Amino acid sequence: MIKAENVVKRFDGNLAVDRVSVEIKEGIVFGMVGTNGAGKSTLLRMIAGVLKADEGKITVDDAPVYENPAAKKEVFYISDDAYYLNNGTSVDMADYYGAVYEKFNRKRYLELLDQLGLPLSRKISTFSKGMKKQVSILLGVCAGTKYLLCDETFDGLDPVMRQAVKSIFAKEITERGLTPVLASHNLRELEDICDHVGLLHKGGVLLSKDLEEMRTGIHKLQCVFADEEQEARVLMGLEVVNREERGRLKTLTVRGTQEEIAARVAAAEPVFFEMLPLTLEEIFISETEVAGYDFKKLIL
Amino acid sequence: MTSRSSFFKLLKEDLRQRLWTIILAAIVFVLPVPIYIAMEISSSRGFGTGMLDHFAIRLAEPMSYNSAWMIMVTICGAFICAVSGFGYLFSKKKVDFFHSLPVKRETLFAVRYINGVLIYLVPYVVMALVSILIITVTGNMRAVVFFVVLKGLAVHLLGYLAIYTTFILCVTFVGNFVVFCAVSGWVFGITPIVLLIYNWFEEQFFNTYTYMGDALNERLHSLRFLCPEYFYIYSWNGREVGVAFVLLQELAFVAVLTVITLLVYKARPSDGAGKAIAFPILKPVIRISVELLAGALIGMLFHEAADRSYGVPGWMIFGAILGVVICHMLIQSIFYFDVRKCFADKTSLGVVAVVAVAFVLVMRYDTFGYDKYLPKEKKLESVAIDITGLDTYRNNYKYDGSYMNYTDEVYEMELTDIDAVYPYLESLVADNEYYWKLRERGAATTVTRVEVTYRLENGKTVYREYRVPEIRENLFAPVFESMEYKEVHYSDVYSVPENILESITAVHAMNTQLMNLSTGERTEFMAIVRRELAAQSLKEKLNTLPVAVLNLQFVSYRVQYDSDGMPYDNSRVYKVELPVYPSFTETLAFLAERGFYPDEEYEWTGKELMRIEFPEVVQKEDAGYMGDVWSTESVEVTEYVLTGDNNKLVEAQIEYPKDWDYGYNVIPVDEEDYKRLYELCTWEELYYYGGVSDYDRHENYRVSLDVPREGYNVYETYYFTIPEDADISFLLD
Repeated sequence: MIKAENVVKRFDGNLAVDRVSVEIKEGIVFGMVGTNGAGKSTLLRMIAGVLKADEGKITVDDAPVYENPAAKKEVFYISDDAYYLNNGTSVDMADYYGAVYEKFNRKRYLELLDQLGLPLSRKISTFSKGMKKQVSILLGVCAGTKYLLCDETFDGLDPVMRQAVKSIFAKEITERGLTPVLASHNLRELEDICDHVGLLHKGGVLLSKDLEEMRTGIHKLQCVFADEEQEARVLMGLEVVNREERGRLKTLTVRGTQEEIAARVAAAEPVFFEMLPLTLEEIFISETEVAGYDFKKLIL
Repeated sequence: MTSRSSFFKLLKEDLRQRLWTIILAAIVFVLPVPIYIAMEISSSRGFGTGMLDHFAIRLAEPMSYNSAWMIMVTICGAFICAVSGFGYLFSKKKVDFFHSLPVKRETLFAVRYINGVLIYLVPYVVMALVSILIITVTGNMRAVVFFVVLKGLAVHLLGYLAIYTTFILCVTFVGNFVVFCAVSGWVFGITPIVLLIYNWFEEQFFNTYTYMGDALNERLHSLRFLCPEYFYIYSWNGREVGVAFVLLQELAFVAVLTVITLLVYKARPSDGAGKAIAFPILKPVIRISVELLAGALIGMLFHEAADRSYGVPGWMIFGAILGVVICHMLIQSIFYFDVRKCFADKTSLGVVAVVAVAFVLVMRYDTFGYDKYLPKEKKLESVAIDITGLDTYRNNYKYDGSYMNYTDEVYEMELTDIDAVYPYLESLVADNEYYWKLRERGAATTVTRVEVTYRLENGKTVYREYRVPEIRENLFAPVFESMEYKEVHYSDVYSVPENILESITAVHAMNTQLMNLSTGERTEFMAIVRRELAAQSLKEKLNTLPVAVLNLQFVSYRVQYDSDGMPYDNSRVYKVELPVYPSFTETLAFLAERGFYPDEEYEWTGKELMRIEFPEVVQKEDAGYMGDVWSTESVEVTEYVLTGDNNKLVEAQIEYPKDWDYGYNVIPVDEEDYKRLYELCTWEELYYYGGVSDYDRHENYRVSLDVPREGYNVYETYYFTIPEDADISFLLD
């Protein structure tokens, strides 16, 4: 487990990360979202052991990560602007990483390169942006680490490649418990891939929740009530987070399980009602508004 | 932990990334020197056995410790390897890449550091081996080549490590290549520049400052650990210390420097990449030091340009402020990468400007009493005193066991009887101050220059030059009369052995005698001379004319070799002149026993030609010339002139333009007059060999005597002076 406790980082007096505490459990895909400058990259660089926290503690499997090769062996960091060795090919990169990551799986790396149609002996500097990202992801996956930190890595990947990467991740998670940590400013990028999401804003964590838990605990309800009395009766037993009205059609965001909500609404026999799934964005809108923030100003 | 195999894998992978530096090193090392050696051998002539050592040394010269080629390659190589190995610290994405690897910083440092050394060392060794092979197979190998090559390797490798590590230290300080170049200039240049500027101030503002040959070099040597390029290039030159000592010293320096660099590298924040300076604390250190230097430098330039002739230092103050401000603007713009920040930290700017102005003023007015400096008596270990004007005819030589070398009293002399010397030193400090006050007032005075070396118990050496109106006979006498003074002041007489003493000639005007002495007699004679010289008082030295002069001729034999290895005779003849004073009674007696009498009456042959030359008016320094216009004033001078008809001498008033060099008149006189005039004469050379005091010689009259040289159809001319009050009216008849 990766654990950050009250982590603070300043650059030239400017607060980049402000008392962040977050836990990233093993075997999940952790999404880290936030606007530009929210502190995602800084937090990832601290987790990767590149930066030293000014205050607080970051541990990987209970071991401090900074200047600790034993802990860093379990972490692979893919920067948003990754470096590739001068004139290096995909194979050269594998050679280099192979020298420092003992569990680097060269065979699988070559297989995956082949599967994704990436050339072995061509200089990486001649690759497209998307191809470079694919190489980075494959290097990270094959390094044999428990944690894979990806900073804006999914930017520029086409949908097909995203699916391919998703399936690679799924396999690695299943086979050896890989924990990808994906940082992005774009919620929609993470929606279909993450299990757990942490929202960073102005250097702090606004919330950090399991996506499934969020999805099962909050629902969108569209309904039309016969009269106000009926409506009041139904709503009295529900935890309404958000409410919109368009004529008689009411759209409610309600906490609770789908079954509980459906049973309670159905019992009141409204004119019409249906349960709709929430997008990740809608869930965040609700959660952050509850926390007192205007989500639309926080994130795309 | 990084396993050993991982470490070597990293070494290998890092070398793969630095292929271009390896190729460059291979080209620079392996090609030029072996090619040079092969060309030299192919174009060489046949040599005798005795020359082969020298030819072999010449072949190995490009690999010697002071080879300019190797020094250049080493410094450039250190720069390239430091940047290729640690330049990644300038790039954020490279830093993210390397610092996210499961490798400790010290391992990363070691990998890159070692590779940087290998890139230099391996081609160097290959070059040396190939060169030795060429020298060997062509039959020019000598054992001395190994020594030259090994010493060269040790010096250049240690120098490389010092320069290379310093460049790495500079890389770790900064986050940008351009700033790296500037900071490297600061690190390598700050010590010599500070010393140069300080030296310039000393020279300009301190009256007792004296440039003692290598004073700057000496200071740099004492600060060599702050100046790696000096440490590398000059540590081995001219130091009378063992190779092993220097080697150990350099090894220790490199080890300490490497540890410091590693610690700085480890402490360097990864987010330093892309910034001007990675460590915020360094910014004011660099900025303030450069601003102060710039203030001092520009202040001095303005002083030179504007204030020099006048006492008001207004322009100097303006220059100091200007230097600080310009420098501040420039540095802040670089540090912030924003020209709008050029006036950031205004308080600091103000403080530095005030300090710079204070510095130039303190130096200008010698606030801390540089000129009044006199070490405490107890702290003095020894003193050297060299009075310019005392025995000006002499060049000091010292015999080093095989050869005679020039020597300098201020370096060689060690007067340890401080009690005897100290009163004189006190008088020098006071008299110097008095002299400069007189000069400021424009008062004319005589001047004697006295150079002093203070050697302190703490190992420090301080040089001063005093200008004093007079010698102060009573205070200087205990110094002059000590053996420690005389053994150095007359070092040739005391240090040179008789076995290289070729000849002794006693001279007094026309009376010259080469002394035919046996080896035993020479030894005896020199012992007498040394004894009487040691016993001579300052009073006699300053107030009595010598009676004769001894010319001692030493020959120092030496065979040397030219750049082609050809031997040539570099033997040198040294002539040492020593005046003989009336107190040298035993010396004079020794000479008399062998037929030399200084005051022997001259036997006139009637072929001599005697003349009086006059007047000889000395041009005054401070008159007659104002800007580009010569004075048109004239002066009347009383002269004796010849009438045209009967060659009679008559007195006349002649008008000359003021400050001209006057001509002279010549008067032939008859033999009677010759003898009368000669009786008034003193051989002029005796004044030259005498002390510094004035004598009552007539400044305007000079007598010359042309004597026919026996066996030759030529005359030799001797010059004489006559007393100021001499009556020469008999010549008017």
